[in-house]
Amino acid sequence: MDAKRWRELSSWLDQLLDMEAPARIQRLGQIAERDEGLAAELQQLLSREQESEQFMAQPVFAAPACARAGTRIGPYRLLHLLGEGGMGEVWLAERCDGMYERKVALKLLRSGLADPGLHARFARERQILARLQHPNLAQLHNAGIDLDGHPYIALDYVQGEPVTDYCARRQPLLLERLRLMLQVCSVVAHAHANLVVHRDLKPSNILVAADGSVKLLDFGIAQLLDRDDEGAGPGPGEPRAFTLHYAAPEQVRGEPVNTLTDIYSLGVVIYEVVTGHKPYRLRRQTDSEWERSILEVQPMPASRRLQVADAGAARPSLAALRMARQVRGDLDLLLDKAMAKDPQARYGSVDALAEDLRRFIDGKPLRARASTRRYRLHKYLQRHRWGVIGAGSALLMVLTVSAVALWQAQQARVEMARAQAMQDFSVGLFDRAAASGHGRFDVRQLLQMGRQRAQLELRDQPVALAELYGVIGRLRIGLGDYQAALQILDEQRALLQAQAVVPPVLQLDAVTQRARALRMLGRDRECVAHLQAMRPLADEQQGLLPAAAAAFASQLGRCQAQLGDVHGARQAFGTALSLYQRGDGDGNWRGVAESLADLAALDEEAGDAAHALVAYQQALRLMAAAAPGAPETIVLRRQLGQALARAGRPAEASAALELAWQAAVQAFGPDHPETLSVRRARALLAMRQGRAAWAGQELREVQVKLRRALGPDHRETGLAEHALGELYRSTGDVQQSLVHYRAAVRIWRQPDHVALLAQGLLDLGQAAYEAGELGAARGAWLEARQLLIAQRGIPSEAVRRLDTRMAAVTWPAEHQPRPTATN
Amino acid sequence: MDDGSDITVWLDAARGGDRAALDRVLTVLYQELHGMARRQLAGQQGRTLDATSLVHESYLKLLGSRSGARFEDRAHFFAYAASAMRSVVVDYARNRMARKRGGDLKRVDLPENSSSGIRMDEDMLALDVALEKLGALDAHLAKVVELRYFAGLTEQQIAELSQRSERSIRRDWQKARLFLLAAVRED
Repeated sequence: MDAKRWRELSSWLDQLLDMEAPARIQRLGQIAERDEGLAAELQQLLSREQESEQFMAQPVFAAPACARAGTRIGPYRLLHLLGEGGMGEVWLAERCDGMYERKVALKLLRSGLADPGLHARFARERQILARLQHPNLAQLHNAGIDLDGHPYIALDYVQGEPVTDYCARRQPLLLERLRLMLQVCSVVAHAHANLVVHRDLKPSNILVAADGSVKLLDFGIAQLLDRDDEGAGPGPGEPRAFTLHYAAPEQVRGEPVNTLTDIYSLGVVIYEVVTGHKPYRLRRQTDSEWERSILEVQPMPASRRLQVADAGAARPSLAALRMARQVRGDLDLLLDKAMAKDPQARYGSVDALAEDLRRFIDGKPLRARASTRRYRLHKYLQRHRWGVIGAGSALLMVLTVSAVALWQAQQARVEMARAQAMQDFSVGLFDRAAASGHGRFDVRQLLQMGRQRAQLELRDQPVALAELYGVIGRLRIGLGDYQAALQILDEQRALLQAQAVVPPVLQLDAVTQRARALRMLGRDRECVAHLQAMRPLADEQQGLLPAAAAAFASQLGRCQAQLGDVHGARQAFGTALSLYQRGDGDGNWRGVAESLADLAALDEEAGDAAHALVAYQQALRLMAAAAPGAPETIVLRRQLGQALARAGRPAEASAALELAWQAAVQAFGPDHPETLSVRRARALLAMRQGRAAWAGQELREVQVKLRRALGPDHRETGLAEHALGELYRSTGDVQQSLVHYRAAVRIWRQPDHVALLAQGLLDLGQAAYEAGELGAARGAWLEARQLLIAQRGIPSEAVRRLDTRMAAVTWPAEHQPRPTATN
Repeated sequence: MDDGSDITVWLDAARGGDRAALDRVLTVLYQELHGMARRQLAGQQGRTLDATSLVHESYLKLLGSRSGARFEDRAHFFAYAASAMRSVVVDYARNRMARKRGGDLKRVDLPENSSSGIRMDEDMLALDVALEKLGALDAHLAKVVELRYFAGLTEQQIAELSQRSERSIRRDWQKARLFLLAAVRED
């Protein structure tokens, strides 16, 4: 093998090792079609994957070996090694100065590892233990530093066995097992009350003595909640200081831990104590599989786990089945709540968990309530970090806001009154128009009328006039008259700029609506710039005007998303979502639904189609409950339909798009841009289902109508061109396909649309390749590659796919591509 | 052995591409590690070596007390120390083989098996050969193996030293093991 060959193998391994077995087999098959030798070599390497997990897993010499039996450490003499942990060794020791007889467990810092961070943690444990006193806690006796400078801690020597071993051996009844865990809860609650989080609760730290009393050991990595010293969490180079099997999702993600983290771990231990098994069943026992399960997998309910026969047994034992009946329902619910992925969905305190345990033992109904709407929402949210960040900053904000809230509340009342007056005015306008037109009126004409009337009647009330302009602008956007909307919103802007004082709610609304118009016109960079200028105001008003600040953030996120700023968009959508969630009106739920869909679109973009689908459906349900028939439903259905189509579920996709289409025609009319978007999605689906002729007719019509509605350079027009490119490619008319792809690429080269450009180039490259224009194909692909790297960073899946695609082409000699490292 | 200040100078020179300085560093390291290994083993039959503490101790001894040691020193130091550790181990294995052949089994310096289940004789030598092959193809992977296996650093520590993500180090470690396992099994 030469280095070049290895580089090739290595690059493939990067891909293949990330895949599940079926995908891997499929990919290997594809490789074999091109290069059988390569596939065989990869196959051979991968066949040892399982074996390699163990191979060289421990360093060549791992055991620390400085302390030995008989060594004196401070006033103690070491007897024998009890165990080793991340931080060092634990020895059974006795006092050699005759002070007292009792043997102690002596914890020694790993000798030779002269790491100041470790010393600091050791010192912290000493400090922590000195603060805690509890009958179920291994008591601190002594602590110091011996003559060689090795710190040590002397603790109660607890003779007992891990709680899980105890249960496996003695097979106590369910309630007895739970009573053991109640003891654990009581000591953890004591620690929490002292602002100490254990962070490493696991059976081997929970010992049951012969008399049935429970002792909790090892606050080795406990964290003081009230000290924000830099050594509190593991630094970047420090090894993970907790046991993965019992770690909470936030620990796996490396986020700050708190008391809720211990509640999760307690839940896992209770689960294991009850069922004898860990809550996750892994196909492969690797750290990454564990991490994935902790983050994503919903544990099998304990009652079901008990019904699964142990390995080697034909059926579960009668005792297990009896226990399953007891556990089903309430205890399943209790564990579900304790082990919720989202910390906020867990029990709020160990006491609350203990209370429900006690209630279960006493046969009373639990306090834990079944999933609420809000709670289910959290399940989606838990994958996003702002949940944690939000909680902290929200509190901070409440504190800072409360000082100024008093006088601002008065302001707000004044504004409310005016807003009410404005609304009455607008409604009156509609009523009048409706009456004059005998129930039928032309909305555009009405808006024109309203504007003229307002200019006269509100001449010397510029703020009110501005507000009315805002209403008109919003309605114009709804009608799809984006240019007209922008025009009146520009006038509104000029009016507001001339005012010394503008009510914040109006200011925010004005900026948001104008940004929306800009986005609809495909002017996303202006949209972002326009919003960013007003961001301090939006941030400042989050407490008082959550809905307006949320709408602002939504708009910002959408423009950022169009520009490919995934990170910024995600943050903005998260802000919007958490702000919408604070309110409880229907408008808030609409906002929540829209934010969920916005986030889902990002997830889908990032390749997480499964979550995206779930979120779209959830958003639709919310929307249906909050505002049945709202126009937003149409957009949601289209997004869902497109996602389903991409996920290879054409029948469901077709149903969703059909509903969207009917609603769109009715609500917006046939020429509205959104209607045309639905129509395009529908035609593309039909094309993939083999109805190319009909799809072609539809797409050509969509293209003409879009050009008329939005102009030849609009992003949506580009999408229509792109769709035509797809169509012709599917019918084998590569030349026509190239024409349309090129048109799309031309449109998307505008700086506002670069986020779409990469996809356009990828498809253009493919079409050019199929047309035999290798030079053009390569050019398009290389440009796409550069864009993808610039937009998403090098190791993105898209780049890998492209590299694979390019590697699969036999280029003319002068274009030999080189395999690319993916680090 | 020489004063620690020289080590820093040599490290600087080695970083600048001075082969002789690099050799010098490795020689000193090798002697140091060797000596420490012997001292640790003295009178402790059956106990095992702690590679990590050896490397850390030698680091402290050679550089640690000097406040001037910079991060690059640390990264380089560990890379050198890891490769020195590898020589120590492979030499032990080789000597052991020689003694075995000579029928002299009385002196047992190192345990029969390393903690990773690799026997301290043919296994270790085969691994060394395989690692040599890997180094020729992908020096980077071989370096990860040395740091992880011979110097006993964790993936996180390696990531920190080489200023790369832990994930990419873990992936390299995985690929390296696949390669080594295949190479060892082939022979």
